[in-house]
Amino acid sequence: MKELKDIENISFEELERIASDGSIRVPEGLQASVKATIEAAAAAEDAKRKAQRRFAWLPYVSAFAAVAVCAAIVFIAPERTAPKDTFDDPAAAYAELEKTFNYIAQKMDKGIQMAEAASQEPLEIMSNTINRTY
Amino acid sequence: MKKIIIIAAAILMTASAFAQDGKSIYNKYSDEAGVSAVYISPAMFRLMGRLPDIEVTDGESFNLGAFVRSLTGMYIINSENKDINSSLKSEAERMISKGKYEMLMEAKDDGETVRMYTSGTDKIIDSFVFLVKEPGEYTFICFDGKMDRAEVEKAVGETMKKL
Repeated sequence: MKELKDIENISFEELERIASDGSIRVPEGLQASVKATIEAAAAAEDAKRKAQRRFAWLPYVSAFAAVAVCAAIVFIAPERTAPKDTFDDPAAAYAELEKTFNYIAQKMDKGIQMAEAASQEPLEIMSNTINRTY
Repeated sequence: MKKIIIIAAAILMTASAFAQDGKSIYNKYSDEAGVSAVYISPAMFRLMGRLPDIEVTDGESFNLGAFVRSLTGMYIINSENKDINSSLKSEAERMISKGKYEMLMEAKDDGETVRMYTSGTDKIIDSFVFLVKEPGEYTFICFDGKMDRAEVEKAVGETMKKL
């Protein structure tokens, strides 16, 4: 039996001659075995390419996520940090709170007065109409 | 590429929604020119809750001390800067529209608009927002906490009686 180095040293003409020699017996099932091996190798290569294609977006998304996290740290984090108390003294803070309550109450009262005035108008119109009629 | 755009949009939407509350608005505008700002922290509210003066009940039955202790933050932004006013107004309105706020009151008179909103449940108010738009001025007031809705309504009623 020839060794690999012997086969490598054979010229193309000699190889062609050996291949076309019908007297040399080919082992049974060799063709099927070679075909199956080639097909399996092709299938493995195809699966590898598909897998690469399936995760092709991963580096882009990773890069984008990194940018998004940096943007969040730069833009959102400062807005989430706790502000500094305006007052050191609870009594002063309470005075400001009272002032705020009074401000809100004044503004609310304006709304209430407007609502009351609006509810009085139809009553006045009805009353005037009744007085004019009778 | 579509996936990247969708993810980007989702992140930006989440970020913008996340940014909208009293604290973020306060942090954004409190240092601007023509703006006066007041912030009272949860720790300060706890200290205020220990003040002897507020232990007395206000009026007939309203316990101001309990009410103050239920607050965890107060943010006030008052702007007289025209450029800030429009931006602050849109930020405040975005906060209201993004959150689950319910309008309690709106009054418009002589160029002044007052709006009051609350968010929370039937029993608890977790955020109270008061917006006042006046010519050349805009005021944003936000209270955070776990306020008893009945107590707040009682306080509002008592305040009305006093005026």
